[in-house]
Amino acid sequence: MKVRYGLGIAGAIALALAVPAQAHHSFSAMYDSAKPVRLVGKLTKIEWTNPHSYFYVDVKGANGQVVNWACEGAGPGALSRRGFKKGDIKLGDTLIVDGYLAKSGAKIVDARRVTLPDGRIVNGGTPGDGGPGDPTAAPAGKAN
Amino acid sequence: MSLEPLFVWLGQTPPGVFLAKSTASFAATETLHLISLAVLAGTVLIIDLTALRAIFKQASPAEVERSLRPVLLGALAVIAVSGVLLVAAGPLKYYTNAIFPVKLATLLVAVLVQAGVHVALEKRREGLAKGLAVASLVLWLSVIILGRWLGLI
Amino acid sequence: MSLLSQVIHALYESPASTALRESEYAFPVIQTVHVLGVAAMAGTIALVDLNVLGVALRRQPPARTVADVLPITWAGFALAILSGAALFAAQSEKIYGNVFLQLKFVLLLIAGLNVIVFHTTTRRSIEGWSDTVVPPIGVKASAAASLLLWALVIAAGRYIAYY
Repeated sequence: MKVRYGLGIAGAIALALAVPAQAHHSFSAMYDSAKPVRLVGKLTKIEWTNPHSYFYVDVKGANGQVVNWACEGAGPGALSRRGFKKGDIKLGDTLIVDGYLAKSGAKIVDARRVTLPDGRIVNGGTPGDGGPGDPTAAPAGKAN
Repeated sequence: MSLEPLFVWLGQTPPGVFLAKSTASFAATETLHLISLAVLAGTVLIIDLTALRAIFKQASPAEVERSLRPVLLGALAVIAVSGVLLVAAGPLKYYTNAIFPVKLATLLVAVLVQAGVHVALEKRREGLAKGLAVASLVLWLSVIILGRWLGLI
Repeated sequence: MSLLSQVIHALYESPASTALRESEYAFPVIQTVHVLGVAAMAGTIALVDLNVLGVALRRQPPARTVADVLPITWAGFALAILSGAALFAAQSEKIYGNVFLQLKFVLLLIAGLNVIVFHTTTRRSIEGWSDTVVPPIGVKASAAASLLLWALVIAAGRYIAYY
């Protein structure tokens, strides 16, 4: 009884901590799965880090303006297991990133699928998980 | 027989749809999962180490287990419900994750072995209880490790 | 740059922190060790608290529970704080401004103080408690506070990733 009460209090407090949707952790928790998007841009910065990697691309919008976007990827271990190593991309490379927009509207995407300059595709998802590039997923739009 | 329809259905339930949209509620559910994990770990450690006569040496292991069982079951209930809710928020991701079935299978065996510890203690089979207690500790440790690695493949 | 940000920057750029931050396996392994340490530490603390509150381990006098469980709590604490320090160092510059990280440190301090207060004020009286001689209300309040504080520490830790 007191155990459940104690856990209940903790849960209620946790729920009361309204969280600004900036960072993430589970795919479906902070990026919007109804907003798949494709970014095409030149790599300006790479952070090959744990718990998540970040690569930044300059994307030219429909109005000609260049906007820098952050693409959040898995950590180095997971990327390496998917065949994506630190030396595979360098600044200035053009990347095609399929991902989901952040719920907050910030210029950051959850990078699910990256097409490298040599045409190789690195997939952060798994077939059938409903992510971008998956037949069960919604069609991608363009970022602006 | 594919379980995919079950996962799809789970994602379409009201809690599944709600948790997929609400970051705050998803984070709170994860937190409940972790808090109950800690309580579960505490009860398992005490029950199994007592069965192994490493702690509470003057107490009866069956008595210690009996006095902790409500807490163990309560924590198991919360962790199971919160776990299902977490999956409901994004079921296909778990369905296609190679580690997920391994974690669930290990969890099932851990629960069965823990029940075995209970039965062995009740029947005063001290040697059997000790063997099962070691297996229990290894299994629960594995479940936690597999849980962490779910997000890393 | 303030002194704090200079120290944090040096810590972040140190070879050890950088290696951990860019590692393929070490970082996730240390994260896992952190979860295990916290589970062992907070879990055993929770059960001592529940014992004091008369909810769990009913036939066991709190004095014995504390004595027998304390080594496990300390082991969990050691794992948690060493892995925690490593995880902090690896991410320091990126997370020291994180409100949940700061909240977690404050909560850890308060929870730790509560533990010290509990142990120092009950050192003599604890031997007298049993399932028939219950601890005084102030001690039960400390145990209840402990449950809440450690639950909040875990919550704050989880929320770091959401800021």
